[in-house]
Amino acid sequence: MGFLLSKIRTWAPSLFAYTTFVMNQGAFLSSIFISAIEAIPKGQSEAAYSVGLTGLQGFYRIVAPQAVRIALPPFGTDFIGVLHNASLVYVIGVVDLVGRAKAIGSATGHILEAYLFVAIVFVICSLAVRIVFGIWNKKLDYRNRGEAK
Amino acid sequence: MSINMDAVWESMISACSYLPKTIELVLIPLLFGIVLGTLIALIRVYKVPVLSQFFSCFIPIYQGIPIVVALLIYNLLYLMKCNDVLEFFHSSKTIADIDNIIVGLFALSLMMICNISEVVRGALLSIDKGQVEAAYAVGLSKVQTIRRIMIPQVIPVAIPTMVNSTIGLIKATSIVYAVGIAEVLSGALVPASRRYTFFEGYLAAALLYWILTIAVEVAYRFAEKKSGKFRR
Repeated sequence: MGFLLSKIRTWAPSLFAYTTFVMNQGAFLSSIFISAIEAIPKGQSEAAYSVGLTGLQGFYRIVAPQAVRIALPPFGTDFIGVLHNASLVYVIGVVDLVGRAKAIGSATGHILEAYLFVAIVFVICSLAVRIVFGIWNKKLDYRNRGEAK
Repeated sequence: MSINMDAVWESMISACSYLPKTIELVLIPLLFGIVLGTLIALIRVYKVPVLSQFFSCFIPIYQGIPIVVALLIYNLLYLMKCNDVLEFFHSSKTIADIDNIIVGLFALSLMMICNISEVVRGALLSIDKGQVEAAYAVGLSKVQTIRRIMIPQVIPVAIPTMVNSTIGLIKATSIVYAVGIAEVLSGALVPASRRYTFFEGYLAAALLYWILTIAVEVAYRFAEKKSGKFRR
C-alpha cells in the first residue's frame, strides 16, 4: 500500500482533475440523458417494434434522435457549467487560465488586470458556447422545419 | 490507507460549528435572488424600456463569469478599496472591523440574482397569455394580475428549477473557501491540519454538504406539494 501511495504522489495533478470531472459529469449527464429518453412516449418504440425493427435499431433510429433534441438545452447549460468549474482546478495546483493569471499577476503586480482578462476570456467562451448550442438546437428542430420555409 | 473514524467525527463537529456561516451564505443570497431576480424577470417580460435592454445584455455576460473568478476579483477590490470607501463615508472603522464574509455574500448574491431571474423568466413565459387577458377582462390592474394570477402559477413551475439553483448555491458556498472566508469546508479542515488527517476532513465536509442538499430537496418537495394545490 505504501508503495502504491508513493507512486500516486508522482502523478500529475491534472490526472486527478480529469478523474473528478469525468465522475462528476458522468453523474450529471446520465441524469440529463435518462430524463430525455424517458420523455419519449412508449408508443414510439412500440411502433418501431411493430414494423419489425429490433430493440437496438428502434433505439438508434427512433428514440435517440428525438431524445437528443430534448437533452440538448440542459446539456448546453451543463457544458457551460463544466467550463466554469474547470477554473477551480487551480486550487489543487494545476496550472490553468486562473492559475497562470495568478502567477503572472503576482509577478508583475497587476493582479486585478490579470483576473479581469480571465473574466473576459470566460465571458467570450461561454457566449460562444451559447451561440453554438442555439444554432445546433435550431438545426435539430424537426417539428418547425417545414413551417419556417 | 485506512480511514480514521475518530478524525472524521472530530472534523464533523468542528464543521458543524461553522454551519451558521454557511447557512447565512445560502439564505441571504437566496433572499436577494428571489426578490431582485423576480423583479428583473418581470421587467424583462413586460419589456420596460431601457432597463429590460440593459438586463438582457448584462445577465448573459455576467453568467459567463465563473464564480471563482468573480470572487477573486471582488476580494481584491475589497482588499484594495475598502479603506477608501470607508473614508469617503467618514466612518471611523477600518477594513479590520469588516468581516470578509461580505465579499462572499456579494458574489453569491449577484450570481443568484442572475440565475433566479432566468428561472423565473422561463416560468413566466410558460404561463398562457389567455390567463393575463382574462385577468384584464374582469378588470384587474397590472399589479393585481401579477400578484393574484401570475405569481401563484409561477411558483409550482419554478420550483423544480429552483431546487437545482439552490443546490448549486450550496455547492458554490464551498468555493468562498478560496478567498479565506470561514465556512463548513474550512471548519472541517481545522482539526485536519492539526492532526494531518486531510482525507478525513474532506470526507466529513462532503458528508455534511450531502446532508444539507438532501434537506433542501425535501424542503422543496414539501413546498411543491403545498403550492401546486390548485392543480388537480
